[in-house]
Amino acid sequence: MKRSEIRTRIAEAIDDKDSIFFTSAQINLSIDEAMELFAERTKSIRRSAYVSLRPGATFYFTASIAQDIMFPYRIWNQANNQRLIATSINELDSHSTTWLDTSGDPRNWFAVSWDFFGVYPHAAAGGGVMRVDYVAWPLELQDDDDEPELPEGSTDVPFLHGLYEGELKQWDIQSASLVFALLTKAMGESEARTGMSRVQERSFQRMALNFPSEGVGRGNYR
Amino acid sequence: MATTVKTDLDRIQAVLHDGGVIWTRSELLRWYNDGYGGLLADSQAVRRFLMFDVPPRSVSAGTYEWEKSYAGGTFRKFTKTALAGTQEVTGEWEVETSESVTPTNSANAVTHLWEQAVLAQTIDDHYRFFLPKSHERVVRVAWNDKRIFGISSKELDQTGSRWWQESGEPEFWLLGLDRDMSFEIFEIEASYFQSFSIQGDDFGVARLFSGDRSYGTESTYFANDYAYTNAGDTGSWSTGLGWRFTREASDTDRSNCVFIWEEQMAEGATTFTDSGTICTYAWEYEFVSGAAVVSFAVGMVRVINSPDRQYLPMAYDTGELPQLGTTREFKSSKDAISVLETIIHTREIEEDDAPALIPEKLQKYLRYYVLATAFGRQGEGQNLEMSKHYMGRFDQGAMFLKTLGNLTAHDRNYARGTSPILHRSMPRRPRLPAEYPAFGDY
Repeated sequence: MKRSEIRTRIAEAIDDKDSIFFTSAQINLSIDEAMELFAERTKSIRRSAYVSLRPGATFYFTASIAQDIMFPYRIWNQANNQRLIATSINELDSHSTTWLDTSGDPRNWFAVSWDFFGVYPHAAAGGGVMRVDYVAWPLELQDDDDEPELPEGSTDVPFLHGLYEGELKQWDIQSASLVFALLTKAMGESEARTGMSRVQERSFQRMALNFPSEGVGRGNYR
Repeated sequence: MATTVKTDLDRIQAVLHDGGVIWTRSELLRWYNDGYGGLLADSQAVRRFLMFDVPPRSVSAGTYEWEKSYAGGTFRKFTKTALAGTQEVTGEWEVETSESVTPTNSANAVTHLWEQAVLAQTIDDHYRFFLPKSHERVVRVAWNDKRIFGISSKELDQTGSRWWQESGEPEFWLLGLDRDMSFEIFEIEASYFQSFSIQGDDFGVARLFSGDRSYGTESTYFANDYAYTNAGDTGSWSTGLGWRFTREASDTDRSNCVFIWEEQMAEGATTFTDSGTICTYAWEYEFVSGAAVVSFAVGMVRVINSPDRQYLPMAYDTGELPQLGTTREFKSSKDAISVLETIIHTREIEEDDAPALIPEKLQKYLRYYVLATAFGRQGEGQNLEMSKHYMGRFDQGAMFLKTLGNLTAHDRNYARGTSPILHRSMPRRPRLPAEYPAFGDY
């Protein structure tokens, strides 16, 4: 659904077809904000970015990797084809007292602040790239023909959010609360249909995948 | 470009249907600041490294507690309170004297703690580091990048010694016995270290660093906008980056010469130095063999690189574009105490600022806080249900930011069996009874 269509629906729903009380610009902002809420709740917007391994650098600001990054969910060292294992400063401190001075191919990553993280060990020389897969904030819609990055079944989210903000602008808290409950429910349902939940064929209880040579499978009579 | 506070306040006023009559703009701004501080403090999501040179430094030191109100910055009261709080003294013997008791020898007293390194003698005071206003909580403390461990003064007191005077490799840190927003370490490093001495910062920007490391500069700015011959040319008819391609001789006319031999001639020399081609624009050097390339290292330092260590910028302020600011201070974790801390903003943000310590997309929660407070305020426009609703939304934002603070949350396996061991007991020290004969006392 295009932004202009969503805006029309919102304006009609709050009985303000000419957008006098709730202006078009305000509704546009409300639609963008609905997208942010949706992304915060469902973590469904995913992107990838690449960053070079900087010599001597342990810490990386997320803003230096991508402007729309919310948080990384996977970091891959392209140089040696290894996924960096998430760990913590506490674990590294218990592992080694001089871990900050250790250099080599990064094997772990750890959180420091919402806006930067670290890798261990840090690269001694440049010449490698990390792929950072991350959950992203949504892009603002560019024009009236632009469509929100939503599953088609969740296009009611920006509409409900606009309606909710319209009711709040009228200080009608009863109606706003009612719509907010609907919005929360819609986002919950969307969360159940997006991201990992979209995959229905998986069994999360199964054992790790092993090859016969690893001791599990036909012909293993031990 | 970040969304400024002004834009947010405009949006808040649109919901309040008020142009500043019921809720003034300054009132909204104050609540915005309150919400900002609350969001940062509740979420603990903004963490920064803070380095302390040893011995500890404070901005000021004073005799009385009240002096702190006028001192500004971190403050150390170097005196000892005596005679039921009526006197402030420096040495312990003064306490005895003031109470008409025969004085005993006492250790030296110093105004600033760094003085003990110069004094090279024991002082009878605690080795305390003073934390800045932005500090919220300590996450990790390290000496020379090695983690040091938490301990209490009670445990250290049980050693029966003046532990605060014992020098050696720091292994523990504790909140200790002085004011909040400060901490001390055990054992103490009595030598004097200063990682960087900033020179030429009279104009606000560090121009030169001292130290035993070698630094080189690189500039990606390789083109001048105009070339000129003398000081009178600058700023009069050209704009942009100018490059003076002449050299000023020391003759009475202060001649502007192009070549060095011209300068020597103007100065009355009889022998002359050969000179290569002098160009007026940087690009000309591409076409003139043998000419020295001119570097235009103008502006401020944007990146410092080293293959051996990382120079990490730590932004504490909350301007509109904080990462484009000026580096005011240089610190190192080598031979220093480094603290990983959670922080809040250091100064009240204004309408042209942006709350840059949080993700821009979370600014909406600050609007919710202001709306909750505005609707909750007594008087015209009060609407407690609206207030409660908006406060609930703000709380959701604080929770979300807290989650973001742990960036690895979605890539972790929390089913670990063992926890990291992050405490260390004090090494056992034998403590003899008080009546036990001292060494040499037979």
